[in-house]
Amino acid sequence: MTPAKPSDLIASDKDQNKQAVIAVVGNPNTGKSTLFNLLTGMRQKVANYPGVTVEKRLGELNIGARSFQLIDLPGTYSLAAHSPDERAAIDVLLGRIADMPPPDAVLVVIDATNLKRNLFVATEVLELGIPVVIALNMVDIAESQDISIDVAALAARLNTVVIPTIAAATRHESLEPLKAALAKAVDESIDTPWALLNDVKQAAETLAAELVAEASPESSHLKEPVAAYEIHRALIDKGGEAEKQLISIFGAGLSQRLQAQRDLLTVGQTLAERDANERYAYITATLDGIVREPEDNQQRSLSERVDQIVSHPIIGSLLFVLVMGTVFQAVFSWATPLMDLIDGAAGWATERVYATLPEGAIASLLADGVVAGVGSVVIFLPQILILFAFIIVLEDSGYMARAAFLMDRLMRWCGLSGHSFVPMLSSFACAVPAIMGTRVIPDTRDRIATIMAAPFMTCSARLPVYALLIATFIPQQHYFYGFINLQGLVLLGLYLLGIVGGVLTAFLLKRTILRGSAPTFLMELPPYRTPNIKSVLVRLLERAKAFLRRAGTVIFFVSVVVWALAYFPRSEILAADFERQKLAVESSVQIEAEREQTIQVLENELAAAQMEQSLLGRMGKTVAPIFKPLGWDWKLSAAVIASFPAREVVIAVLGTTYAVGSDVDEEDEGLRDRVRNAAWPDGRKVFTLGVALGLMVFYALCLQCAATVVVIRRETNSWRWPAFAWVYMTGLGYLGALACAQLG
Amino acid sequence: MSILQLAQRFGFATGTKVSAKDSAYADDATLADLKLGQPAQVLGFQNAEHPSAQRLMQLGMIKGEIIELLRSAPGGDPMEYRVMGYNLSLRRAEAAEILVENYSS
Repeated sequence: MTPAKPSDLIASDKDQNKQAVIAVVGNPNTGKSTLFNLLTGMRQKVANYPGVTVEKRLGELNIGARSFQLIDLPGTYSLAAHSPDERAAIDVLLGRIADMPPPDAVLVVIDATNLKRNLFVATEVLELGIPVVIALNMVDIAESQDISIDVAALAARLNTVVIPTIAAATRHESLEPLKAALAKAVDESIDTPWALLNDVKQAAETLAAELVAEASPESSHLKEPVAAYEIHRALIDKGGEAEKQLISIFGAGLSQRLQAQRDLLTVGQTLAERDANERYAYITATLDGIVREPEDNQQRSLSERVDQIVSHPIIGSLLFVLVMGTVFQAVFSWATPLMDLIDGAAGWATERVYATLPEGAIASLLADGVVAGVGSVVIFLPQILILFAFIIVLEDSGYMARAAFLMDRLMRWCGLSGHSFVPMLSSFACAVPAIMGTRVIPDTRDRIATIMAAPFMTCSARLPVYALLIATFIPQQHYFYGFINLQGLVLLGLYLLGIVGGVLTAFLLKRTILRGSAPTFLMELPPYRTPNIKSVLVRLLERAKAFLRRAGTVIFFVSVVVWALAYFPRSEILAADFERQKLAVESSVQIEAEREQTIQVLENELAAAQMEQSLLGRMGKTVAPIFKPLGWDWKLSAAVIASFPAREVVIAVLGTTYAVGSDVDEEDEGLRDRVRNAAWPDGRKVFTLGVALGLMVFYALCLQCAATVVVIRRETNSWRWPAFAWVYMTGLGYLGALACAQLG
Repeated sequence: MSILQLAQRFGFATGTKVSAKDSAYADDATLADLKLGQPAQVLGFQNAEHPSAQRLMQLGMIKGEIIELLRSAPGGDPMEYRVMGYNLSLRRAEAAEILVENYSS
């Protein structure tokens, strides 16, 4: 067995025709993603790594005539992995991700204002034997803080290329030196990789050679150099992912062999301790004499002074309420004109369709299926984008970390951490950006618990449904000299129901299937920074695209299906009957206004009759026995089925089934009257107080939003969680409505 | 309770210097015992095999590092520290894993 070098595998097969791959590594808050966005611009793709919830961001970088693929790895302080999500970075670097070649070079982004901690992961990457380019980022900020760094000396001591970059690089030419260094690095190879703990490395290589020799060739798909680095990691990261991975390949006996090696390599301390101590000692020695910083850092004390107020327990909390209040005001008030515009455009398009096309299935498909379906997606885009923009700016400015710090205590009693607060709050506007925003939560279990809790919050699509039901069934009663209004009280109750549902869900999940090791809250509070506008826009567009592509296609498809269910089959007898009655009215009624009104009534009645015998109507009748205990008739059952893709659809469907036309809104008096007077065949009213309350509770608890389902699928990278959420929330909604129906 | 203590209790007047006598930390003091304006030096971990120990060391909690309490969140938890030139937030339970000793500048 020849002693293997990691470079044999990692930097092999240099093929000039193949697109070279560059991985981007760095601590969180170093401006790594900003730099990635500036290098790749809009040429980005976002996907998930197989089996984990970490986002895989790929981008294309053109340097001269050559094109490179950049992979932005999740921000990390070290290559040590203690969870499957943390594995993603090291898997990419070792070339262990399917369909992804090992990188030809690594760009390590380090923050010039905090070299010591940033160099930790940089030195780990240098041990991999892949050519490295270090971007010494934020040199402008370092300069403004009077920190001076001898870049040439740093490069010489680390034996790699170091290129200074600035955080707010808006002019493209300022990135030229970095691009040139990357283009050069991908063609290089390293023969003898440097190692900090040489004895650990040698022990790992010996063990790797033994294991590969022992294993039958076909049972082991792990190549020796990769195995050597995995063992290197497993020795240091006791009980971590590398050890688990190796045990799954070489068997449980490996644990003892690893521990025997650890005992040989250290005395009186753990290997992780030795690694951290020696690495920081090496870094301190490397930086000695080449970094000069003032005793009292002015800039830092500025950020510190801001924090005296922003992170203050009392003033900071008030400020936080103010900030979140502003965000919500903006989401609702700025979005309204845009939403009205979209609504108007959809109405105009519907009119145009009916005006230009002959009446029939095609026109109805275009107007009620396509336009309505697309409209129902796009209408929420303004709110979603405004919310995204705020979340991204809060993240990039450093405020998000302060919010998490202030709210940690509050979130802890439902088993979560402060990281979950802003995503949870965002879902009061819309669960979609909230769920996408859970990427700030480092702990996977916390993240999933937050994703499961978010759809319970009263989002803006629930409001029209609540408005209709409350205005229809809850009397205008005032208590305490008009200070308390019964309708308002019910609305408040529905909000609270959502909050309690979400909090209890997170609480129960964290105590059962998502139970894990002791919760941690290790979070850096980065200095306040001005967000880079271009990078914010790139991320905003990327998220908008993701929403429109993933959610848009599914919602569109589902809308067309629901349209078809409600449209087909058409009864010719009913249509002929309508034409006869219409003719009779036209010949008998003289006053034009009265005639038109009568015809409108007939049209609405035809639509209602067609709905009754359509597939949706029949489905409503088929499932009606299931909803019977809730006190629902087939019309309500059909409307509820139709509103699973998007809950606000219930108003239009109720409008059609109750024969007041589908173009009603929640303010429509006709719809309210019809719904209020709806009766069973024996004359009993359908909507008793219990049924009405039950319906509201059902809509409060149920996951009736295809966009949310699809986004949960995307963010958890499996259908397991969206399926669980749907079944669980629908079940809760049913039970809630059942309980209310008992009120009579 | 003096006005100064009261002010500190409610988060005002951070970083106030305290007399040398008060700044002495007990032998078994941890990061959770840190007082405002009284930096200490990291000694090590209660249990070096603690699941968070490796991550904490990588974040700079290594023997000899000077660490300072900056503030605590509402309710006294989590805490914000300054270590290795940056600010780090820790829950009290994790902070109690890290042993510290007096630091005299």
